[in-house]
Amino acid sequence: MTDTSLSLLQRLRDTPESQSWERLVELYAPLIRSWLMKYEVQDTDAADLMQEVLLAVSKDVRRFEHAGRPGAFRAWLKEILVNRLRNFWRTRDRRPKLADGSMMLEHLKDFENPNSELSQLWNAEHDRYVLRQLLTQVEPQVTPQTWTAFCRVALEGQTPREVASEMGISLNAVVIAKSRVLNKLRQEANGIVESSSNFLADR
Amino acid sequence: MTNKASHPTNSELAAYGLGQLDPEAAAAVEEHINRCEPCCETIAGYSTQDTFVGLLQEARELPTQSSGAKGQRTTDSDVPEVPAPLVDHPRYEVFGLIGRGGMGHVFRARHRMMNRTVALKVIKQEFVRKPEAVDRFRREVTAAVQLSHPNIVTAFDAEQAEDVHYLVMECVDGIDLAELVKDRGALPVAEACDYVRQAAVGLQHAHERGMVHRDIKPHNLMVTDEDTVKILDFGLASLAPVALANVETTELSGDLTAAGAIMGTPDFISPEQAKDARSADIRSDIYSLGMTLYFLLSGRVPFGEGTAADKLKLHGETHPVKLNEIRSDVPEGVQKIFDRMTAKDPAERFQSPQDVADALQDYFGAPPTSAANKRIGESGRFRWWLVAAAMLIGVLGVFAYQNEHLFSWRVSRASDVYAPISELESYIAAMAASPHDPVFMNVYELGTDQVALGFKASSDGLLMDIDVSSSGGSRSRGNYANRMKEIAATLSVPVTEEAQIAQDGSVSGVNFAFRLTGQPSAIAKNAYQIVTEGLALNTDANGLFQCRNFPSHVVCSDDYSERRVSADEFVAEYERGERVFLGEIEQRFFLIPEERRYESPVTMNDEIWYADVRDLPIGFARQVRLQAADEWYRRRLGEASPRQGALNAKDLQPELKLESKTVTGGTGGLPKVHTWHFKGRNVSDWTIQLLLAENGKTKMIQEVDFEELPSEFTNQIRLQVKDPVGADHQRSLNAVLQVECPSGSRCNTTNENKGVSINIEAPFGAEREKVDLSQVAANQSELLFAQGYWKDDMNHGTSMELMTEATKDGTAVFLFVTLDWKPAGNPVNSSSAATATEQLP
Repeated sequence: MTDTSLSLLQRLRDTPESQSWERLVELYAPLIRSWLMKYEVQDTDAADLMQEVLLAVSKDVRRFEHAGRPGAFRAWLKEILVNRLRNFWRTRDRRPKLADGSMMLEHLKDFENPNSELSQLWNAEHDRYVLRQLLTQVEPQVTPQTWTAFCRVALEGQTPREVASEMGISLNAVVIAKSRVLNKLRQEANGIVESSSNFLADR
Repeated sequence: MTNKASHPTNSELAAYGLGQLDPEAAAAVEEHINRCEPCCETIAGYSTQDTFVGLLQEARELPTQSSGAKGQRTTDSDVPEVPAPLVDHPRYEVFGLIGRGGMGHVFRARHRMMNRTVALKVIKQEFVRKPEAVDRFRREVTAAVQLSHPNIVTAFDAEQAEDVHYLVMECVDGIDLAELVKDRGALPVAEACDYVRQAAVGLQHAHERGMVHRDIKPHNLMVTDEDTVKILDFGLASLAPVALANVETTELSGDLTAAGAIMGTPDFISPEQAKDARSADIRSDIYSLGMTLYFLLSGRVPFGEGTAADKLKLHGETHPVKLNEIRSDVPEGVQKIFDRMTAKDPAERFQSPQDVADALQDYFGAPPTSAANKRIGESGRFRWWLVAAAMLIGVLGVFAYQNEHLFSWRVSRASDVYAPISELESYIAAMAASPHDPVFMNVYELGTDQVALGFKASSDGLLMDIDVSSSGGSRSRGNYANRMKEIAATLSVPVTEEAQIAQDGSVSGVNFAFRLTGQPSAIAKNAYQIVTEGLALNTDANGLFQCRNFPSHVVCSDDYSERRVSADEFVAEYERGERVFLGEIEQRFFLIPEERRYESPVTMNDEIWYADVRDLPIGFARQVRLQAADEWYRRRLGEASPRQGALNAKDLQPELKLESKTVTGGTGGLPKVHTWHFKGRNVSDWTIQLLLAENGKTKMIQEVDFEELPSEFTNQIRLQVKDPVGADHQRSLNAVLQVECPSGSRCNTTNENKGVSINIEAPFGAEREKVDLSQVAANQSELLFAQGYWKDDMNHGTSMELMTEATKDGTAVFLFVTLDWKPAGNPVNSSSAATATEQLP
């Protein structure tokens, strides 16, 4: 495993709450917003709920036990989200004139079940959203040339040789660019995104 | 590690290509391929795909999160446009700009559903960039929303559309005093003083509710067409940075504009607030109001020369040019009032806005202009019911908003109660016991023609008010009032009538006040009868009450964890007298531990239980509320509670407690032993089980069912677990439950000393423990302990059902230890609850 570089999860745990807060917002706000939308939470309420969820995460991330289980973090996050949503809909359900709360509560049960389709969707979206943010974060950390080479090979599926000749750089440089950026992304995502951590040593 | 002399293996090269090597190995490969072209070619020839890369490709399809303001013009552009998120807003139709301010621009808007005109103040982005600022803003606005007074612009709510924060407020047709002076120059003395007096009356209202404005200035005082002054922007000063303090010493250039934008100009700021914004109290507002008076009378700011820092300094050191040196018609008395409002030392100022209003009123006699304040036989102070009527309007506004888009945050939603009229009695009783806030009732909701009732505490009970104005549509209100008077007469409830005199001397309305005295339940009963019979109400209908006294005693912290109990348990607990009802939020009833019963406010934590009112036996909640009110009252009178006996008798009540939990072993091949120590009293029926969940089903492994237990006992439950993992992740699990039988007990055991013994493929394992078991809940199965084993990626919920569910595909198993406790004499049903209250006097 990596000793020299910290994963995002480790940094979240090690940084003071105020800093980890910003990171969390950056990383997770889009995902959570999209799920609150799915549950028809609007505007002000969504902002409140999102804040609640992220506050809970930032407060407890230090105590979060990964226990070597892949997917544990997103499951934990989902648990927090479900709890907040349930509270929200339960109170909403109580208000007169609003009848759709109990239906939402039913949906939530389904969401809570780790084997449901909803949960699978959550897992997939979680990884996608987090990686999207990671890509944005990593880009400025490397030279533009490295980034372009990486994108073309890894993300757009061009062959290293094509990229090397189009960009007018050595094959070696393309191979290294791709490897380094991928490696960086894996390290960052380690513990948060499944399938990021299959280093050779683990096989 | 890669040997530099030889080539890396093919799998190393492939792993490198995918960025899977750890840094050291990667560095070695990198170094190698710098020299060795064939290896580089090899890597280039490998597939570029793996799961992770696939995920990255998918991720890239998502749009990036835009962090900037979407569609919003820069705030300093010449003509501010309606911010994009507010265009085609589902709730508001936003029209043009009606005002500009340091904090943000104000737009006129129509609430689509209510068809009512409101003003939206869109807060500038720079003030709400930080989550803390938004938090502070919301807290302050939440407090400001509670303010409702003719001299304060009513704030309804703070909302957010995408990244645009805005305040929804009453739309006031009028002009601010800065504008007015710009148009007309210095004002006549009496007019200026009346504006300031009105502002002071508004400030007093806020002051009584613990609020400070912090940015009183002519720009923030609106005067309407009827010459009523309304204070703007309560709560908004919270967005100003706290660090105005160092404005003198630190670099002024950049910060000054910011400070200027936020605080207007520092022309009206008190010396202490200039030093430390946090130290501002109501007396700082009085200072600023004094400087505002100066502005109105002189047409200029007190210290016109110099930079912001100079001005701040001058506020601390010197006095402005005397008013009667600027204009000769300012009487000495007014100069004195001004001097006292603007004393450098807050202790030398008027200590409350009311004092300012009184001083101005005493000097000028009856207020010359304000219709809103004109009352006969009153010495300038507002009488409560006029305020109450205004508050009611405010409250209705808030409620309407909340009902539509739900509550924005907790404090405000706690104050509205929407309940059947049949419950009115209990709310009135509750209020009579704890007279902090009035109960309002809007009967209009019930179709009875705009009747609003207000309740207010008096020294010996309550006053119930109905206000009948001479304006259109209130003839039937007069009829209702007369009916209510008749019923009051039969109940010997005295009624007073007060006329409200309009500006032209005509009677514009009558206020009927019913004086209700006695014990809370008696007050409530009379009030209830007068209201329901007088207004001929259908008591099944829902009415809107505003009852803040109970909910305001329960403060929910951000991440409160409540413990929900079953209705039976709630009733049983209440009957046992160990915990006492305190308050209600929406449909929840709370049980507060006895020792914290009269704490105010009570912070919500897991000691406080709640039950859903709808689950409770019909009438129970109502009875409890009435009873709690009477108990409160008795306590106030120092009388012993009739429930005292019940409290002493609690020694005999059943109780089962977890005293401690210990874990030993678990390392070096030793079995892990969990031991729970229990203490019980009158426990009677108690069952302990060890369960195994596998393939989606739970089966009972061991059971100990106590048939007889000593009245007082201690007991131990021990779970011994051996779960070594062998080759191929095979785990041989062996667990056995041992339950001690205290002397004097008799129990049935199933599979004594014969636990579970299975082999499973499960490299992973985890324990889950119910932490809060100090009081074991009666009449329900409690999960004491759970241990799971599984093969690969798995997550599961925390309930036994969900954990069992997680074993469905055969790759996981769970062990559970559960307790079932059924104390004798339960459940207590609703009829006994009702009986208990019927015994009350």
